[in-house]
Amino acid sequence: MKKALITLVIVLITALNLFAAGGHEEAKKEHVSLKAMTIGPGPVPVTRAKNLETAAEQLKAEGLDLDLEVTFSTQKFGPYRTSFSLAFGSGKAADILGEDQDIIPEYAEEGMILPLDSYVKASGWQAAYKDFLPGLWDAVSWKGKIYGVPIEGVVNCIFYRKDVLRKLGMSDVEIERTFSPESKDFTLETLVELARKAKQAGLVEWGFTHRKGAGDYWFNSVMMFGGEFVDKATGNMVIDKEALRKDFEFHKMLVDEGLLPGDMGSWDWSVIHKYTVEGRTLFWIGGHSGQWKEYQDKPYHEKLGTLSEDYLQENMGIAPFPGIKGPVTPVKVHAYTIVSTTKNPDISFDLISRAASPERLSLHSLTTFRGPTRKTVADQADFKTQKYLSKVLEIMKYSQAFPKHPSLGVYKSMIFEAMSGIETGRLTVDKAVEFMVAKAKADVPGVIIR
Amino acid sequence: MKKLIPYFFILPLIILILLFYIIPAVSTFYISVTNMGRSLRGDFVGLKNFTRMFSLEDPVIGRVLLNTLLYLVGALAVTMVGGLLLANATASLGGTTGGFFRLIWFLPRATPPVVWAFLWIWAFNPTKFGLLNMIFNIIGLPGRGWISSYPMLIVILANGVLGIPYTMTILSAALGNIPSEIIEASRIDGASGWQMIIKIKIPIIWWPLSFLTIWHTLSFLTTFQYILMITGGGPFYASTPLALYTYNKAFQNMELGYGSALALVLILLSMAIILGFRQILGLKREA
Repeated sequence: MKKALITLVIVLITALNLFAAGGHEEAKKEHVSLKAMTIGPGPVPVTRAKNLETAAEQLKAEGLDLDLEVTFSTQKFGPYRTSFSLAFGSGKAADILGEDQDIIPEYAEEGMILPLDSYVKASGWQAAYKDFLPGLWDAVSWKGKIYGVPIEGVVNCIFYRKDVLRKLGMSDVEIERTFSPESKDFTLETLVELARKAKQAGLVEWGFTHRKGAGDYWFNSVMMFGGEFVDKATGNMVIDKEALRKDFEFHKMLVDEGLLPGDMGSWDWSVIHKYTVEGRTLFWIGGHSGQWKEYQDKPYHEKLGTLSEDYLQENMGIAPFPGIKGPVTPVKVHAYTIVSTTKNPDISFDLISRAASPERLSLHSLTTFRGPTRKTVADQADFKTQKYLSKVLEIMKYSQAFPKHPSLGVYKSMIFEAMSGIETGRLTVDKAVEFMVAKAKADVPGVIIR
Repeated sequence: MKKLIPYFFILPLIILILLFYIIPAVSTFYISVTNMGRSLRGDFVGLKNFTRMFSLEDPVIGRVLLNTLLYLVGALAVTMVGGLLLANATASLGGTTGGFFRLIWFLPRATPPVVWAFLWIWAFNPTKFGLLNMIFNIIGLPGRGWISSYPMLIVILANGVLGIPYTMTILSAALGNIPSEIIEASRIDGASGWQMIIKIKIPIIWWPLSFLTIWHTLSFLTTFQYILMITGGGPFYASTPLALYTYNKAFQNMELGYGSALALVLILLSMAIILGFRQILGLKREA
């Protein structure tokens, strides 16, 4: 009886294997058409699209009759997401979607992307799964399910001007020590003091500049003051009044002292970057690591045009945000996701897993200066010998998870509006906090006020 | 059969109105009673989106409605007064000279929207690279953050000036049709230039003037692209009218349910204003 049972099990397993193999052969014979949507924004991270194309070539070489159409958008995320929503609503969405982690909860809640747990945790992918840096799978998860394969970590950081600091009398060793995340001097107070001195000495027009419009910086700045965004127990959004108040007071103080322009909301992006690369501002605090590459590609500098690696190394540096509880480096993950309407989820995953291979992700990070997502990429000699990328890796040690919530976009808009009200003198700090509470209550279901 | 021919000719227009106005309006109403989001799927929520608006639970809505009124009155005043004065001036110049100035003033209308917005952004750029601040610098005055200090004034001017060429063209034609004997007679009777405009010309061109008022009102109520590009509606909603707020809610935050409720209010507001103007301007009688 026992023998018969074992034989039956073996026969069943063999039959299943044959069926699976036959299925795979079948898939290889069938013509498969896939579409993928990827975004920069801007032209720099085009490898997000190219890596998919080369992965498709590899699949074709292995005998799969695959036809892949990849679009790479250089637009901003707003129109990119609108066009995806409209395509999804009309049943014409792409199969694969490149997206930042902040939208994943919203797409997951709306059932627009597929959970990938069964793929990423499959026995054949265990080694790759474990190769991703700690915390990244969590970044692309929502309610315990994984929705994306991380391809880069956008490292939000501060850019400072070494040339200005030298003119203030600091030696290169002092500069290095001051901006080392492990240094006791690396505090918000130090940054403000240096900005005051540089401004008083007439070395810069502004001590600080930040981004215009709603964006990640507004999370970074709340994180500096130890703010929370999501309640761990309920998953509901949190309005952390104390952290917001400190954040608002900090920015108001900078504007009142003439260290930060009060009208940054009306600055043009090219002017913001011009001020950074020409050393008109000491600290550019609204940036991310990839902008090092952007300054080498786009001629923001009026006299020098595009900047060389040597110029940047000589005159500029990057650092994490000096939070009140220690350095803060918010890292936002960009990932490949699979759209729920796809008819080919297996092949789609096969494609994105190949596009996220160490070789391809290495190429992506080395050409875009975005942070790596896999240990084998981070451990590569190319990374360790490339001065800037090794610095990126160093500050990634202080990385903090980017908040996750379906209403993150709403939060971003609210805080930007409140901050623009404070910086232009239209709102007091108290009124701004009141506004955040009232607007969140109106716009975010279940919001918790603390 | 012969009686049906006129209907045959207006049928394409009816189909177009049905496709591009009636069906979208009905769809908007349907979406406004749902909580539709990014996936374009939503559950029925009754009048929740409307109560959120009318109970002022949304703390911004009062400000947005006030902005809409200010923007409408301001931009309408710039367009109508500016257009009328320019039409009168160029009509007085007459012939080639008048035509030349009309052509010059038509340039803003012929400028692509992005270029027009960029010109205003550059002119009022808050850094030393802005046109106005460059001029201030030359004459020894400190630069200003124009857009953050006067956002509403700037969007009123940017949109109002853009409406002037159309107003000027229509009113120039209307003024040109006033019989010269009437103008001559008023001159002989000793009417001043101002009296001539107020008491003679405006009553004669009342119908095109009323038409333009309604036309521009609807245009200012529903268009927002220049505001979006120049000020983004800020700072702190200082230049956000209802149309822009609707767009932001529907397409930036993808709150399509609430955005549709706002759009529906905008449609009703536009209709109420048209009906009001018809009464006030006496168009009903004229028509």
